[in-house]
Amino acid sequence: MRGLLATMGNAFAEARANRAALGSQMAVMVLNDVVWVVFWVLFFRRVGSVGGWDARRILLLLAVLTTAGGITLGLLANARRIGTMAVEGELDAVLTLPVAPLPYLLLRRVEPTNLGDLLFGVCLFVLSGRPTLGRTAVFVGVVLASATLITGFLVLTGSLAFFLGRSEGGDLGFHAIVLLGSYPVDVFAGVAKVLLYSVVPAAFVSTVPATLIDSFDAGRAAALAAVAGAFGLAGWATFTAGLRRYTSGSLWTRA
Amino acid sequence: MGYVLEARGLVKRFKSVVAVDGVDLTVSAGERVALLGPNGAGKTTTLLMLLGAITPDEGTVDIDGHRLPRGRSRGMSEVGFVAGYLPLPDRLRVREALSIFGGLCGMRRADADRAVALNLERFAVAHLADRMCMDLSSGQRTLIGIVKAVLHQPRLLVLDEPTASLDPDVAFRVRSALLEVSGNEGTALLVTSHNMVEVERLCERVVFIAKGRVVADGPPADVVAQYGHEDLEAVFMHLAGTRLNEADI
Repeated sequence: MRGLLATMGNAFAEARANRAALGSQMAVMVLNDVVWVVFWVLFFRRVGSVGGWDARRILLLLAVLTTAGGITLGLLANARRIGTMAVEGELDAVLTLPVAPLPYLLLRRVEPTNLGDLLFGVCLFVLSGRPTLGRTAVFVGVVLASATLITGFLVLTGSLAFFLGRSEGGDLGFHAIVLLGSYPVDVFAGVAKVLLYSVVPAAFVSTVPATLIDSFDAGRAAALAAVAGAFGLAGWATFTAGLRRYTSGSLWTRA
Repeated sequence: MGYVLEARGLVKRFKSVVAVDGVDLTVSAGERVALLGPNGAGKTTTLLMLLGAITPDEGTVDIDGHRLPRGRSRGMSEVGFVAGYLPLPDRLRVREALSIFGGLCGMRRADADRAVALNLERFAVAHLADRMCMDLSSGQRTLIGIVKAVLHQPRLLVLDEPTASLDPDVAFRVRSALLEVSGNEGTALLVTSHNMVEVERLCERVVFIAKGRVVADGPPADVVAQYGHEDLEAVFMHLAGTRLNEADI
């Protein structure tokens, strides 16, 4: 545990070392997210609601997505680079350290740009999510579940690179989960909707969590926790199995 | 005396090429061993397997009784690894980077800070403590890498060409400090080097690898006698030459 705390401390120390870039990159991402908010507000002002989703609910969905995405892509920034690191042989230095490789890798790098997402998501919830004590507690819980799910999914798709020898799976997984998660699943139908509840579990990344904040349901919350746990475990198992096939690239980067 | 490192029957294939073909290697506590061989002999692949960076197709690696890869975390906590190509966190100061690494090895902050100060002094690089890592020269990075590797008092120190980028006087100082670490703290050394003079000064046992197999293992004088040459360099040349001649055929 002390080693992992040191890893996190190292990642923050490095991010802080370039304060100007840290601030500006976070600001750019916040601005980008604000544009999304403006777009959705203008859109729903014209159409009223779509599939039961109005501006207030979509902002709640956006708050969950950006906060959870900010945790994974900002604080656990290597989650989306697992495939590239596996294929390009960048894990050598990590594997010689006295720590569990996956937690180390995940905590090793902070991405300032996506910390902007995290900041924005929390602010958006405070400003538009009607944050009572109960709703805030649910928000925290579902965001953590969502972040676990995104992380597990990215590690899982990235780790396929150990077996396939190509890293596109990780990139594809990243785009699929984040893009599809930015829309309420109710706008999809048929097979697409089934896929979003299973193979690419984007529904559990944003729609289910946002719905839970508005109307908490124990069964649905348990389903979210189970799916998040399952993808977390699947990601870990795939990475661990993949390491046995890892071939050094002799790059000795700091990952 | 127990083995700090025990590798048995290591085999590694890359497609149809057998890079390492049944290597056995043991290092006892406090022992100073050189792992030698010409380019392409399988030395680097063996080293990567010993460090847990790649998994052997066959064979086992135990570090201080912990079998890799399952016991990686505990095993590697007894290993310090030094190589000129190992990265340092560019945006941190040397003292800060070393202290954080101590934490990574499970050291308390105060213990890590004390060990940093002691070892910066021991390797005569205390003046670099407040420099940014990105501002270090290649030789200075190697020296800081050595400090980093001995910080947590590992039982085994693996050194890949430890003095390759150092001036002769600094290299001499480093060798002396490494001998001191080994003598005082009982740390075993496993060294790879192309500098046979350095090997003879630093190591009490040499293991030669050629074509993925161990072809000689013993005290330098015995290995030299085994091949009928006058020194290790001649043995090295002999092995490299043999490899080239056979490849030509």
